[in-house]
Amino acid sequence: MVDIYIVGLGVLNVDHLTRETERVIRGSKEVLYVDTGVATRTYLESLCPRVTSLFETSYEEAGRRLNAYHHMAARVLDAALDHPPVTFAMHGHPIVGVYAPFLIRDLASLLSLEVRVLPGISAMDCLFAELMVDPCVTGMQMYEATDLLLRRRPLRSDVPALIWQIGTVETTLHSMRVSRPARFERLRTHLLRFYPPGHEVTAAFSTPHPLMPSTLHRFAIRDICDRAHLLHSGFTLFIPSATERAIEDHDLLRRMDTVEHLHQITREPQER
Amino acid sequence: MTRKAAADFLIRTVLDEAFRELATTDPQRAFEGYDLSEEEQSILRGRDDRLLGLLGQAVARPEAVGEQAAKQEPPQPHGTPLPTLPEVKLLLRLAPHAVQQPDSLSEVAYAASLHPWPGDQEPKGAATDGANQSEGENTAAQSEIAWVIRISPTVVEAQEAGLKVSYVASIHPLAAGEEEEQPSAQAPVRTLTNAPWNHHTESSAAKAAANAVLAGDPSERYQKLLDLIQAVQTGDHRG
Repeated sequence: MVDIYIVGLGVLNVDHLTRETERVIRGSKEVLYVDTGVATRTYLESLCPRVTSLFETSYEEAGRRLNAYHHMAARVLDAALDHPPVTFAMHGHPIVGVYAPFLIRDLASLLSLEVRVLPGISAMDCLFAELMVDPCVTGMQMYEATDLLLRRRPLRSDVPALIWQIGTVETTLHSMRVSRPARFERLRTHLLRFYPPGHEVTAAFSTPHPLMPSTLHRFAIRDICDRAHLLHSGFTLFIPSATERAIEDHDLLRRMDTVEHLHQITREPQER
Repeated sequence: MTRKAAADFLIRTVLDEAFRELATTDPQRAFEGYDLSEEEQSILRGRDDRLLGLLGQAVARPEAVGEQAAKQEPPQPHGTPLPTLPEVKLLLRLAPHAVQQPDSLSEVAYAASLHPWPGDQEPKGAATDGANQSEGENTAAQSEIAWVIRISPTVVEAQEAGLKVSYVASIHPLAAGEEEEQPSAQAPVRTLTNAPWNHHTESSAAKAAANAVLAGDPSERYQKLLDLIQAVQTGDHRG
């Protein structure tokens, strides 16, 4: 018996909810959510008798995001202990870029509560569709922007890169303030270690509302600081590859289209 | 003020598919019945980035975010964060050399030296200095091995007397020419930046805090849950 469902509401308001997510919300006694979609509350109220927004009570200007996650976790667990099952719903995918679900899962095990996580549509899924990027073709490396800088993670210029949360880079504090150019200087310096200054990147913000198109800002890496005022917390940075990696395993290249090789690496269904 | 009208309009365009179509194809007709300002109509007609501001205003309306629930929310947690300590990284160099023995068989001995982590600049050349070698040793061609020693301190408790710190240490080889050292599978590296994900759910303090949540009065449960969070993050229950 599940006590807590952790679900994603997707990016495009209401339209990205999966039928699976709708079903568990309908079966929940309360849905607690973190999402600023304009119609989220109205829609959730049509599915569940008790709807609680956690956004306003979790975040405060210049407050630590970690405190916000603690508050969310405590509120969800409190509700689950009182009147299970409950659903904890959030923007996008519930496991991407949110700490609270991990905390809830671990605390739930101490409190004998059952947790189930359902997938949602994340900004990455939207970006793949909007930029027509297939990660199976050239691979994909992805990092969170601040973590990229903290560890000075090396980037491979022959593999496309996706940098999450560039709009919140360099701070663990929540803020609605507009970024200054200086915010992106460290990021620009780091990227220029691996890419030429003129390499064009795309900052993508997938639309949360059907009347608004997604926002795509294309600019050279050297100009990222000039775009600071545009890059709010919803933006993800996509860096296409700047070089191509040559094929090294020519033996596999030769074999991969042959039936002979297929039969070497597979067996008949009835074979043991 | 027409903000409510704009919010209602935006909500309906999400929930009512036919109305969404109308707002896209014939916005002027869709505006009928909504007390929208000229500017709002211009934004809704333009369907560009300015819509984000209108959405922000709509969401900020108390009735759109559940003001009643917000007023009844428990206070936010603002515990004093524990200080963090930097990871210590050292470079261990082992330089093998052959030592000539009286029976003419040679043995391999190692000269070891410990260095501060060189940072971005990888030290070149052997670090074995003459002081590490015994006189009379016949040094053969060297094939130096470099190891990385990582010591990750975690503050588990802040007391008046000082900090209680636990350490996780790991050692693994640094391959020649390798840009990034490979972490050892036997001793996974635990760093401070991912500390919130290392929950001490097996500690006795965490279990005690969990029991306090389950046994406590429901009206105090929120606070006890915050105490539990503190306990799993530090391994200590200070509730």
